[in-house]
Amino acid sequence: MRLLGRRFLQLIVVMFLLSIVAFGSIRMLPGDPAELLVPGIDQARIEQAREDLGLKKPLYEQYGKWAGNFVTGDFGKYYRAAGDPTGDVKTSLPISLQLMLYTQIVALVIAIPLGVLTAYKSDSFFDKGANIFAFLGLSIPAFVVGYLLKQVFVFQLDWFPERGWVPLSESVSGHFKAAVLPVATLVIAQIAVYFRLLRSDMIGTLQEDFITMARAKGLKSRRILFRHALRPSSLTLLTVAGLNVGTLISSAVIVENIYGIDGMGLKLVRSVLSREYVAAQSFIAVIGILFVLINFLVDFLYTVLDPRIRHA
Amino acid sequence: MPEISSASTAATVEALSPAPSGPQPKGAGATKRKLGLGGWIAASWLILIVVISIVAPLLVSSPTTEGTRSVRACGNGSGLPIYEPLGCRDREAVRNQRKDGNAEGAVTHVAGVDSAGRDVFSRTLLGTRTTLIIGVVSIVLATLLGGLFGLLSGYFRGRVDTVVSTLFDVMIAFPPLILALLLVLNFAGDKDTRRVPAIIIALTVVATPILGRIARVSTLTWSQREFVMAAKALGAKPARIIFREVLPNVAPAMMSIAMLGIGIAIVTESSLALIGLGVPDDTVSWGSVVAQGGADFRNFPHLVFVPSVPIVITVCCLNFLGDALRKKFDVRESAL
Repeated sequence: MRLLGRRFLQLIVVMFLLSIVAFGSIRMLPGDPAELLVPGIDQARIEQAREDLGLKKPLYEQYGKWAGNFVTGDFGKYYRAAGDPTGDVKTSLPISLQLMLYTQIVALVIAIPLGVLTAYKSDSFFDKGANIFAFLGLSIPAFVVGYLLKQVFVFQLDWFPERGWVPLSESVSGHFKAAVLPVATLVIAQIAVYFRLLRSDMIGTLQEDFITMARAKGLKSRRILFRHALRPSSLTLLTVAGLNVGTLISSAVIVENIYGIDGMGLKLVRSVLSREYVAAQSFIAVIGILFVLINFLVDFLYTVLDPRIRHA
Repeated sequence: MPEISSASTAATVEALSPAPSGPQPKGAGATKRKLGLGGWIAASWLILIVVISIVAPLLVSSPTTEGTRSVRACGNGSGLPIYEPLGCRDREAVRNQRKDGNAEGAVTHVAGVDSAGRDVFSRTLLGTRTTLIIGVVSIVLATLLGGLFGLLSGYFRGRVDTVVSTLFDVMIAFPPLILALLLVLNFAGDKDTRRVPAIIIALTVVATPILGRIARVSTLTWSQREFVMAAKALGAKPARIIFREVLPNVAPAMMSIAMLGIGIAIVTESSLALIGLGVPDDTVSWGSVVAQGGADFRNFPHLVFVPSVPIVITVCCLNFLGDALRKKFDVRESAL
């Protein structure tokens, strides 16, 4: 319990730092919303706009106002665009979360058996094939995979919708149909990363004494692999699956772009490009908090997987 | 709490796609110094694109910046340009050629032209230079910076290490594309002329923690070795030990990761171009050609796929050589 409390305090500090980074990184951008809002170079009107937007107040005051609102779930306003960031987060965050969740599940479901079996039969024909696949999966950029899948499965075969996202509540089949290609695009690189990691960890574990012991006891191979060897080999995989969320968000921006999905990544890019300060700050903070929380969760999963950490 | 070092190594491993490290085949000792067929192919391709990046302007004969002639050349009479690859021949120019023997303008666009009437194949050739400069310069800078910080924190440990590795951890936690986006905007602002240096700086910052972690982890193990102890016992100064004893052993690992890094940099540059933050219009890179084609993807997919081909091949070659280098140096390390 004390460990839990300490980790929680750490979490609070990290989130505070994160909000400062989100605020600072956006404020350092050249050009401000007032200049974009007021057409022409009429300095007086630009100054007036700055005043109206509250950009002339001291930075700590602006930060305080934004952070205070953020904590209560109010993510500010757009200066120019229609809609409001709070509503956008409500619609976009579930989309991004679903996209990531599906990707991680599919990646792990494919990568774990693949990694375990290739480690067991390393240097076999199957192992070599899987390694070539992993090599290609890591080498082909997400945008090429995305465009390729779109060309084949949308324009040639017409199996899936061209763009857009369907919420689960609207239509279950429509939802999964819209999700297939974006998830497939994201999942290829993920499988490759997880598969390679697990395979090399498994090869190490399979040389341990307790595996020889299990074999000597006459246990079946399948039981040895999935019951005895997988658990100690999966720690690195778990860490990486948590840390990978950052990379996944980056690839998701491109995939959202190609498949016209209104997720958090694309929202953030658009708000940064149009200098929507408050919205961009909020989006960065939301993504950052998501990342921190996921990795916090991963730390707890460790204690489930490894009793040595639990009792330490 | 899991130990930090295992977590950070894992992240690095993840970011850099670990080489398959199975048990070495028995004959590995004999062949490990050789490049192998795949290695030769990869190296030849890389040499080829370096040559192309130098001579590209000489190879390009059709217009690449203003496209009026090409659009007309490929027009079907309705005023709309046809982007079809192959078979897009300037009929008028061919007629002229027959008439007065003037071959000028009689160009076949092997990969068609884009919506602005610019020859896609020529632009891809021209883009090689910018793409390579951005990829190589940013990774060289990141290797130097990351190497320096990694060596210092791995060698001195203690407080230096805490500060440097925390910094790396924070930087790696940021989604790379978002970080690059913020940095490009910060350094370039709205000035197009500063875009290329800004992209280089952004990619350097994104890659530095990755390379820095490799250098740090590698330094941590190498500085425990007997020959480093011996150098210390002989009274060598830290600077000498770091550069003469540790660096030569850390360098191969960094080189192999830098290979992968160049690939990542090229892909990130293209991704930036796709979200509208690539090189300015008067500069061409592979990424900007892909981004340009993205708008017409539905009807003319080759506009995206043609410039994607060299990106994929180059990244494959870099990854292949990086993996090979790493395997080779792993073998050496375990053999010691």
